[in-house]
Amino acid sequence: MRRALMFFVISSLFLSGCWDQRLYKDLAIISVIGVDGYIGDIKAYYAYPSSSDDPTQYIVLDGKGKTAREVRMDANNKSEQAIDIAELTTILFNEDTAKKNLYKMLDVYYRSAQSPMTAKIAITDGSVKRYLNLKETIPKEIGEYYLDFIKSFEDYSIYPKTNLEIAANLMFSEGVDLGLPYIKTSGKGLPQAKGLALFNGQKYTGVHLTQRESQFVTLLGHGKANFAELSYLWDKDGEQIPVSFSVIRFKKKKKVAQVGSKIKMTYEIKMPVVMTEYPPDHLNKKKKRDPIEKFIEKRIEKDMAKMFKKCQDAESDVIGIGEEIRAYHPNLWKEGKWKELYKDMEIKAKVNVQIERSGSTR
Amino acid sequence: MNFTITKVQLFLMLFFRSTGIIFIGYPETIILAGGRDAWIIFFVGSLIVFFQLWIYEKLYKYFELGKFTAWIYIFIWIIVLIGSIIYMQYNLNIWVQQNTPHTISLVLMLLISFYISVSRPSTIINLPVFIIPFIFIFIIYLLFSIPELSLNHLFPIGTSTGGQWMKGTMVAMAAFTGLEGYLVLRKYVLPEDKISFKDILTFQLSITLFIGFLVIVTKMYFATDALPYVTEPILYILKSIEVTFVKRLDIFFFFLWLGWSIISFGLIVFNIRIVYFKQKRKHKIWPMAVLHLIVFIGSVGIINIQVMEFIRNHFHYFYIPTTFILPFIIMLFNRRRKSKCAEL
Amino acid sequence: MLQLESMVEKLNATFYNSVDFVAREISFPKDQYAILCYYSSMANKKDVQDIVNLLKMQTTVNEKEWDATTSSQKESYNLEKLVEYVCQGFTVLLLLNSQQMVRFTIPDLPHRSPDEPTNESIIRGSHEGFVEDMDVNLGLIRKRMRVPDLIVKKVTVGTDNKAEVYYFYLARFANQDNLTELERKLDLMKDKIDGLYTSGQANDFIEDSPLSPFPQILNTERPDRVFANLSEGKIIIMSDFSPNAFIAPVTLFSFYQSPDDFNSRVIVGSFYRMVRVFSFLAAIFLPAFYIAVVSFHYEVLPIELSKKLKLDISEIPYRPIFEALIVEVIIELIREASVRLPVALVQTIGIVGGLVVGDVIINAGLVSNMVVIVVALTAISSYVVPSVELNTSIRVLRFPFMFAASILGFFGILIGALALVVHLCNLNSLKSPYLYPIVPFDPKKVKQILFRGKHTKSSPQPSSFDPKGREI
Repeated sequence: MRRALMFFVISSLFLSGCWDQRLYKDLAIISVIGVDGYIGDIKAYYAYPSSSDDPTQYIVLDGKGKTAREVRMDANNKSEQAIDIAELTTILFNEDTAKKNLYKMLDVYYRSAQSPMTAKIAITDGSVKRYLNLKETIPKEIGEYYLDFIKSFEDYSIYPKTNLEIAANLMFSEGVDLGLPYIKTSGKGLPQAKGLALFNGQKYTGVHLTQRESQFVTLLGHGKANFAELSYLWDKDGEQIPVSFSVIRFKKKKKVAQVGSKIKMTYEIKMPVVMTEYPPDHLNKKKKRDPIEKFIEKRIEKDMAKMFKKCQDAESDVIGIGEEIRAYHPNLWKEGKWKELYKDMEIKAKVNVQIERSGSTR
Repeated sequence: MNFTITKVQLFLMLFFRSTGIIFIGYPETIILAGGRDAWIIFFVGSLIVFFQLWIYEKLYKYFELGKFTAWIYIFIWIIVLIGSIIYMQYNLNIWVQQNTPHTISLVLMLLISFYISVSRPSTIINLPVFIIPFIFIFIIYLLFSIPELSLNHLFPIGTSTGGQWMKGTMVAMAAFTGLEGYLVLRKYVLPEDKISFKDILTFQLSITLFIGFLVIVTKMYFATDALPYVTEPILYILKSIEVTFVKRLDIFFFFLWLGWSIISFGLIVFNIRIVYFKQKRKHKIWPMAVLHLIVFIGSVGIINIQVMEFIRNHFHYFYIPTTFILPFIIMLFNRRRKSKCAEL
Repeated sequence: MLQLESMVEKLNATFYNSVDFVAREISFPKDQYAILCYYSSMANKKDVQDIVNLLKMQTTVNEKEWDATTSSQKESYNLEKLVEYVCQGFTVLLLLNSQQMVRFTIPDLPHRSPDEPTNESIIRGSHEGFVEDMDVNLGLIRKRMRVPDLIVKKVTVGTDNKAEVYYFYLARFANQDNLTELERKLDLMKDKIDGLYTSGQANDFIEDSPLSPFPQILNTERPDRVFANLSEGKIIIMSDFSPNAFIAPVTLFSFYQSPDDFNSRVIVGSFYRMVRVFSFLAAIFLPAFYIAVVSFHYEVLPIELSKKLKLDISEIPYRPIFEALIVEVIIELIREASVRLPVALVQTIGIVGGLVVGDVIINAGLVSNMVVIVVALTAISSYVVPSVELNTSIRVLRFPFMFAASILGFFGILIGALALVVHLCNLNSLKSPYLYPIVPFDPKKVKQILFRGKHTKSSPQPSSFDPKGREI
């Protein structure tokens, strides 16, 4: 009896009947996915590194199908290893796909407990194929390349921090909307970040902000990340003077008032900066500093106004003004009808710039 | 069953018994039940439970189970055990092991619990200690989600309706399911360990802060409309936290939760053990084997989403009858009988 | 005269005419005939001569107490006793006329000088170690413990080759329950064992659960460690002719404390105590963790690491469990070989094993780089333990975990870890809780696991699993 039991136990160790075993060495670890088309006719591209000597080498599988799962199964048929998305870093979506409904395309990731919620999403200009078949050599493995690409912008407060989980959260909340990195390639050279794709609910509005506008969205809506740098060219009496600075702190106060049926909102921004470029020097004199501060304030206010306008026109509340109104001015909030109010809001920014440090020269 | 415990051990057991199985999914249930004010409702519910505990302390001497009431409690606890093991197994299937047969993992978990139940009492009394360091690690990692938390989700206050308050309070109190264990175990506390008002306050405060922290984090993290789609919000938050040295925190903390739950499961079994072995019994091991077999048979066939949703939607109905009404009936009944005896 | 010769013959026959047995007739004052018998291999001849001379002189001076010297004892003649004494290395002087015998306790048994034990070396502090002689060993302890209530007791065990087992404790601190338990066990051992040739045999009898992988008796060759444990109320068990002292009851954590801790500074000592606790976890769980990750839960790996690992293990023909086992077996082989080899050759093994095998096996594609790192780290971690017994136990313990991980991934590790923890909670050493201060939970003492506080007072281990028995 005991011998039989021992035999059973030992032999079971050598069986490969370990139900959930997925040997890491037997899988194709997908690091980037690109999706074209929409439910009914989807085309997707799966990239994974292929060579152990040169990590920048990668293989792109493509799949076609009616549903997102079907596409993956189709791609699987073309690979010698089973494909696995647990190490996914980035998902690229064609802007046309995102315009229809992004959440429906992402459900396949949320439903599976294996998929990583920390993956980044980006919206591409045109077909995603071009973004995966890069002709230029990239410095890193492609998954890491796209991940670091987006992360560095997040560090510089250009994009708000996003990942799969945050995206789902924002697509469902009424008082704040999703903004995703928008990238573009001309076919030559590496892809470039072009701004922030504005969402309304689960759909891409088709409008994207510029990098600078996106930076203001991030600063206003999410606060400063590690760094925030800005640079302007000052046309002073016909002389072109570069004015660059980095933001030390970014403090904002909101003032909300109701004017008729409209809501009026004013951001009062206090922003100490350190100068990083100013060739005319002599920043030690207050007389010199004041006009620069004035100039910066004006430019930022102008840029912000443009940004607010763009967002309102696109009916996309990426800054999260709705959340603020709902939390602190519940009498102004109308459940389910926020976007109508938002469209007609009067949003303004008053900026107060202070040159706190001049850098290592005066 | 001859043993004594200190008050620290008593409160540790109660802490892990109550938080054990539910804590990864609980915040969602209460937020869905209580609406926007759920976090306030939770603190109110906890206050009610605090007074209840305080009355427990005054009356615990009268909590003596007769044959009939003992079997009622054993029956209730077996139901709780079956519900817990289904919940544990279902989540195990969802989060990590899609293909492993139910029977294997159920048998393994029940074997551990069986091993605990045939060990000496001091084993289960002290097992919760091993989890304590992990609580702090767990909280520290949850704090990594701070950048994604939004204070705006907590406000405005006072929007929940009366119905939400009613249901919310019931769910809030359900976070403390298992407090009947206080009455069962209180008698074994060393007589020189006096339990003061302050001790109960500290205990209730720590358990409230722990679960309240989870509720608030969940509330601040998820958009109100996104929450109903998520089942175990705490694991979801951990899953989306980015730390550099490890990618999927949720897997580690899932197993922390599972270990925690098995210990919590063992604590319920311990309650059954105390009540059952109060009378002198001939066999020590067989009853425990039978108990685990009942739990196994009771759970193995019905691990599916329908049962899961039933458990999720109804577990809070357990609290008031088992932890509130029944003990008070028993205590008041025994008290009257005792005072009558004194008169005679 | 005839009687004398026949007696000598009889004695020689009793000792099977062994060449090193000496039975020599000598003349003794008071017209007595005496026979001097001893094993020449165990007695110092010069000392024997000195004492015989002393006795002779005393007989002429004082007739009544002629036998009184510091090392001699007179009793009536008994052949059985005589054999026993001679076997133990005493010299016996047999007086035929008065049917008496005198034994001198001057065995000159070979033993080392009390050098530092090589397997328990420390950096600072006393460098003495026990030797294979009980008198010297007790001397080493008495030298440190200058109190009258250090009680030493002796039990003779063995049915055939009798050996002496000593146990000693401080009457002030030692717990009566532990003592009764130990005495009961020694009593049990007395008749069950035929001869004690290594002190390890006694281990099996004294331990509460000999089948557990965890040693419940601390084994040391250091007098300072014994001293520290005595003042914590522990009982020390030693056998003659063995330098090992068994300390019981102990807790798991005492295996992780080295006398070195208190010789270094508070912060440094605490740091290394934490390193050791970490090493305990690493030594048991690290290979299992690796196996679980590469065959079940690779999604926990951060992206940069995962790519490297993936490309590294893609070409390996074996499943992770076998890959790990290959390296484990190699490391165990190297270890075993280096223990047996003479010191001069150990370095060669190190080079052959470490460099040649380690490097080539990766290049040959049998195992991946990562598994070598993991197993090497585990091996190093397991050697951090200051106790040899626990160290070997831990090395064996990791295999079940590796198998559990290869079948069920993290779930297997969790189940295994829970079983291990419950087993540890159930263990006792001489009926005292093995996992104190966790079982029974004593919040004030828990920090001692990780930190070495300022040493002011030793605290004894409780003897009961109930908190009631805590105050001793």
